[in-house]
Amino acid sequence: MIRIQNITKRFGDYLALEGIDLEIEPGEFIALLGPSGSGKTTLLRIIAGLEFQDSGQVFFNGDDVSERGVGERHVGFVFQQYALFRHMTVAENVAFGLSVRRKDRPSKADIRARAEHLLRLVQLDGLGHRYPGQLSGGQRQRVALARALAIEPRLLLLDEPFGALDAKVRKDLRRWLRDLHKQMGLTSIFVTHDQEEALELADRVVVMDHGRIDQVGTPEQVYMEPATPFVSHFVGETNLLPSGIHVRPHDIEIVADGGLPVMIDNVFRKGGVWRIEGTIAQHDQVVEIDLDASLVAPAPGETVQIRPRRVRNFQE
Amino acid sequence: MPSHSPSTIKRPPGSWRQPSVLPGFRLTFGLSVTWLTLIVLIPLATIFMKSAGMGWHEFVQVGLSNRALAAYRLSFGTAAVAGLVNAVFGLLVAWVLVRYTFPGHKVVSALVDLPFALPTAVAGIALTAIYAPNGWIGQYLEPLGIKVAFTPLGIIVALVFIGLPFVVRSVEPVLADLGKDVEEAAATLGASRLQTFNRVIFPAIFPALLTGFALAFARGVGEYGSVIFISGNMPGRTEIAPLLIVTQLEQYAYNGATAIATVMMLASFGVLLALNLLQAARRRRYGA
Amino acid sequence: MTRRRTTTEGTAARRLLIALALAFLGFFLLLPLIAVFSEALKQGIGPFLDAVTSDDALSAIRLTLLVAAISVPVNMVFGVAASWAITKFQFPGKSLLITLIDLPFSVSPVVSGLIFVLLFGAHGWFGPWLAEHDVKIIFAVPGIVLATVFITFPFIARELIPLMMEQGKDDEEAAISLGASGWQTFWHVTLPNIRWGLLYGVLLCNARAMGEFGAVSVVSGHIRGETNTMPLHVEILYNEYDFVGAFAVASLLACLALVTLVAKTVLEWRFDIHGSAKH
Repeated sequence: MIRIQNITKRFGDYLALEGIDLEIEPGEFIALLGPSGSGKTTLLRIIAGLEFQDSGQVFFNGDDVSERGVGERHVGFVFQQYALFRHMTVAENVAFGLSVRRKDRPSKADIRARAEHLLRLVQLDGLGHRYPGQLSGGQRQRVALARALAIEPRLLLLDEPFGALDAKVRKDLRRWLRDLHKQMGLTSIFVTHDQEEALELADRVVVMDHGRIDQVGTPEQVYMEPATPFVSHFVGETNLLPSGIHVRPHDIEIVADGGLPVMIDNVFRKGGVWRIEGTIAQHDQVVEIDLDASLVAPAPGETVQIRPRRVRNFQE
Repeated sequence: MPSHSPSTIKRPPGSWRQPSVLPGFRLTFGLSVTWLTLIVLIPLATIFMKSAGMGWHEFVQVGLSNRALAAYRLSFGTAAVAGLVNAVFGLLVAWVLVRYTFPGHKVVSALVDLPFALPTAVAGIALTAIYAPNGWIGQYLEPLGIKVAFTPLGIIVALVFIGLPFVVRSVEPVLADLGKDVEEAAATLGASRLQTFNRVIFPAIFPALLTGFALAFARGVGEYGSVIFISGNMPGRTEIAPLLIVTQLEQYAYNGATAIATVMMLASFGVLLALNLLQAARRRRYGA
Repeated sequence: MTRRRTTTEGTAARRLLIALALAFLGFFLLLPLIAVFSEALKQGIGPFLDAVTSDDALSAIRLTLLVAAISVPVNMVFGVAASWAITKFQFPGKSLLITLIDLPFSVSPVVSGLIFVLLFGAHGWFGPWLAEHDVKIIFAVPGIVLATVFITFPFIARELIPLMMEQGKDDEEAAISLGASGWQTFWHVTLPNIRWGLLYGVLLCNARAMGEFGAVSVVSGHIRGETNTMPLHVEILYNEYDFVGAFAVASLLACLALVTLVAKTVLEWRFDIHGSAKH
């Protein structure tokens, strides 16, 4: 179990993290989700021991590792740009962590066998002799993962693991990583600014903003019951209606009368729904509505009445 | 690495370059090739033509005489030693400039280029003033039995001065570009700082270091101005190859001068060619 | 506390490395620079001024300025033309051309002088013809200029090529598509883009042109008051054991070097021409 207790970190005058508390169960797959500057990467690096907190503690299985350097923490870290060693072959990259061990270093043959096994695991068998420069982005990403796994870490940390990939590879790799996590059961934390990625992959999502944790919960919880206006806006889409009501586009229905009058500006097809963009007449406020595609969409220029089906009110 | 497949390139009839909307190719290309030919290629070719004209026997006799061989040994030997010294200290200086901040950082960084900017003759007399037996440092070395000026050691000192910026300026950008994340990755995998340097950082900057060494070496072999004041110019002992060329010229021994110049040029071109091939092979191998 | 920084050394190691590097630079670079000025002013300001204002010194200064005033603009025109052809067009043999431009860098200065002696000297290929028409190149100013142009040939082109390569040709293509002529495009689009890089190249080219010794020494003939540049004048004074005189003239050249370094640093710093030296 990983326990993070009251972590605070400043960079000069800038408060990067403030009073962070978090507990992670063994085998969990956790997403640290937030916009840039939310402190998510700093938190990940503090857990790894690449950065040190100003105050607070980090425990691995009850063991206080707060003051230990990264080399002693035994964590696997996958860097955003992979940080592969360009002058080493793929196999040498993967074997690096084993070959620099000063005690209990496995034999050369063992190291080679282990590297081969890992390359099979990440589906790169046969590419061990190549250099990172000769691989595609997705392949490099998997080499970075294999290299991190080689030291048999007690915790796997991934910094924006799909950030540098194009959309298609991203999706494939996402699915593959989820399967790999299921198969290995290694406690893993990844940082992302992409809510879709977080919701799809993680067992629990930690939503961060301005150096604080806004909400920790399952993807279902953070989406359906956002704890703060920020979470509501950052995870999924949200309309802010007059009098501070937050409502998702698909939680709005068009009614015959008694609703809020909305002037339709634009209608287009978005996947299985009509996406309707309109303006609330009295308030000059933009609203987005998703309407089931089997219904007849209103035409631009029309005025319709809307009513939220399901709303959240946040007490500020 | 052609970026277009041949079929997509439509060249206007009679043109061997790819079409462009920009004007001025004829003018600028013509001007530069003409100028290059007149100023560089034809003059350089005269050396080889004159060498070719003198016959193998004479070429060997004057170009590989004992005195000439001693001069090559000295020039190449001192340039190699100075290059190695610069590889070590140039790497150190580059490291310190890239990695650390300290008061006067900018001044020190600018000072590294001094050998590029200071005329070689000035460097030569200054180094002699310092290392002559009665010089600033020389007077303290003399009682210890260490002679710098007027010995091969003095030549090495001059070539270290001349070559340092080549190494520093070759290594610096590569060291600066070397991502911090690569070192962090090594640390997360349990490597010690020394292991990280030996196995991750050094191999990454080695090609640049080699380039710097080769440039400093090639420059050192041909260096004249800074060396002749400090070397003492004793034939067979401290007479460098460029000086031997000058001596031959002063005696109107044009064939001798030409033969020695040819040997030196072939050697420097050889070094630079080897370096280029090495780097090209490396680039192919690492696919970068 | 065992917080180990992952990407830097401990304070002690850091200080040691800095101290080593500074000591090395101090001994090998700073000390010679100090020695030049100190030796020049050894006997006070009077002998220093006498040395730098002597007729021979003044004529050496004049010649040095003349040589630089010819070779720098000539190489500037060449450098810009070559960079334009190389960076704005695709043609076979481009990398060969770049290699050939760099050639003078890998030739010993002495050899650079020798080739012009072989061409234009009394026993050279064109020697007899030149003598017949009473044209003097070797042991005269034209020879010094030629050798200097050869030595400084690559300086400006090699600053501009990487810079213009990086800038690409979008701006120029945009200008042409808006109806600008080739010259207009060059003056109003390209030149403003490359001016700092060009200045940087000019600076280095000028420093070398004024300070070149080996090549010039071979072709000059060392005629006092006529074919002596400043570096050659330094040598003559030094060989005559006029050390104060030699160092006095040398200190002028050292000042030129310092001005060059300061200007270069300011350029790098203000305009970020060269975050890194690209080769």
